[in-house]
Amino acid sequence: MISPVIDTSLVWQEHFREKVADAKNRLSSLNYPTVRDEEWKYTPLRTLTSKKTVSVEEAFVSFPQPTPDVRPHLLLGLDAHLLVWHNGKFCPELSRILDLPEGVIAGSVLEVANQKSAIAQLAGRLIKTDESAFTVRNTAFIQEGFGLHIEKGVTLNKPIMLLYLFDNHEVALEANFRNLIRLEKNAKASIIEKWVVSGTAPVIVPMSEISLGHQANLEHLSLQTDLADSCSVSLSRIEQEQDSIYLNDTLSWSGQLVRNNLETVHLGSNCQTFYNGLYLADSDCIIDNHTLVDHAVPHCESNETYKGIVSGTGKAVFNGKVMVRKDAQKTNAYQSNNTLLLGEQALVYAKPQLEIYADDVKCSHGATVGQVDGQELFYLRARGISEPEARKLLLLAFAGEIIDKVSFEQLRASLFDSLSVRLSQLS
Amino acid sequence: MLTINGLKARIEEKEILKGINLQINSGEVHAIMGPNGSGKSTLSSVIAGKEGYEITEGEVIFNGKEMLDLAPEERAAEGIFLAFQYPVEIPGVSNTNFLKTAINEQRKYRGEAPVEATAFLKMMREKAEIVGLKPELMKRSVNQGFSGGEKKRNEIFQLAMLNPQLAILDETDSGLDIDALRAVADGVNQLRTKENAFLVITHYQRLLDYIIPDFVHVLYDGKIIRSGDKSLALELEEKGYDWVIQESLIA
Repeated sequence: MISPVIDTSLVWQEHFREKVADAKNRLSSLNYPTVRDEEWKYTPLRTLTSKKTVSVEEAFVSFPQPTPDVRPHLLLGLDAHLLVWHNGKFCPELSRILDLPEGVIAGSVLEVANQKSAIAQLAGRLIKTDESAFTVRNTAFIQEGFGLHIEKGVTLNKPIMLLYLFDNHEVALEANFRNLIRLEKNAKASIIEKWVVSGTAPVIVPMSEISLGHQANLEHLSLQTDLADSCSVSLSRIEQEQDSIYLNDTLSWSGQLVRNNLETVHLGSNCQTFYNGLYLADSDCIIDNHTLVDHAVPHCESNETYKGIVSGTGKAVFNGKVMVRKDAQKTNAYQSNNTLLLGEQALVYAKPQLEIYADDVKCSHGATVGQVDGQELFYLRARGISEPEARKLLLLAFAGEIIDKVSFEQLRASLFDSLSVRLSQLS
Repeated sequence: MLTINGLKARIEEKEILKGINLQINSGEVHAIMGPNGSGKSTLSSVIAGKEGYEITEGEVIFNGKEMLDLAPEERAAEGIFLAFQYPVEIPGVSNTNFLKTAINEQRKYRGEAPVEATAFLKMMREKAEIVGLKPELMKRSVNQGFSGGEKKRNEIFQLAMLNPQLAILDETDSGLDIDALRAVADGVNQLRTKENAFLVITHYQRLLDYIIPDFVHVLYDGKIIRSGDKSLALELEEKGYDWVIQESLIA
């Protein structure tokens, strides 16, 4: 639900005033992680920290913001609710969220938190202020983001698309988002996030705190396909109660520096967690996926597949941690990570990290790093397919496996098309 | 159609082909036989343009053009087809998409318009029947999960779809039971015309009971040491290779 006037003086402020004030106090003495930090060993943040950025608030005071056309960025074949952030600011006039079922509150995080204390209380519960320089800044500038609350037993009638548009040419923005999502018992929803950058490359820091109740089901697609030269550092933390399902698909094939942290913890048994990721990195880009599934209780399942293609001077990092705690007996956890390197300078750091403290579990992982198969290539060429076309066919087949797993079936065809375009641009 | 003159090729320091001469005309079926390691598969790979071989001497002229200067895909579009001894599995690329791309790439090379979708599907159905390939295999990834026989049938199916002037069958009979062998040979026989030619590379005479050759050549130690008609194949089956090798050494 949307109202053009946002009153920020209610529950939200009450609840969060101290946290924001505390974070603001810390701003002056922030230290960004360096490569000496194990978690950031392969991802230097120079590109990000050397940028002179302006906060969204400042930018809005200083510059006019003409209304953009959102139509080119909508997804073909998808009937969805639409929420738009323009240069970091929620934009009610571009958003379309008209026919929500009863029991669903969705909109700007401020509004939703004001209406629903469960959402206000989620802020800062899964992501603590002092975890890193990023969490401090994200807390200090916690104005923007997406809020969703779904009551017990309610299914969202259609997916919600969150569109983050950046077309500001005057300054490099630093845009922080805090998404707060709570699905009560047996509630179902699906969300698609898409970032589209056409102006001066911003620094984007989206953080999500997601809480899934008993038997809740959330499909979550993240499209980092049009980031241009942006830096994006995201953190999503999910808690799952008993019998809930969380599916995450992350497609990252743009951006100068992209770091995703995706972390799920199981609070009750019979949870299912699925992660599918695809990363394409070329020309000095870094795409870094750090994932965690924390099997803290027995009888849960996780299945993770990440694939990537790195060409030119691109670099990719995959660190997939699966924690199986002492009590988490009968855990089923699978992970696979495959990367193709297309050039002599292309790099991938692949680190499957399984820490298993229970003894009655089924866990497996596999990581491969390779090149386009010479036999396959010759077979295609011997049938008359030119070398570039044959390579493209093989790369598309390799990466297409992830598109085939995307839970939004109606989007697969158009995702294939844009993947194919992207593959032909690989430098 | 195809003229090979004094062809020598090696892998790293090892010379494998030591001067091959071969003339194939339209409408002919040639068989190349020989013991293991004689260079049979190298010859087919070199004609098709596989990387990893160094050509030290000789020429491979196809319809007046030197093939050794062309990329594998160009040779294919010129009309040379290699049926692989070990067809490659390509996960994620459907048979249909693969063949459509191949046909259209060849047509593009020859300056022709892409094939119509309906005409293509009709052709798929017709040609699949020739080799008895199950229609459901078309939607599957190329050769993935195919049995040995299905893979070889798929090679002949591709041959039928691409309709080349010269088809090289590299040990197409290996690993086939008698039914699959018959199906493959029937397919080949249906595709024979006055305009095309076949080069059948085989270890055993068995396949030549079904695909009757006009010429039989014995390849040994990188050279063709004897040529004859189909009776040579029968003689080899009966007496083995040793006598031909002995005679060639004496000569």
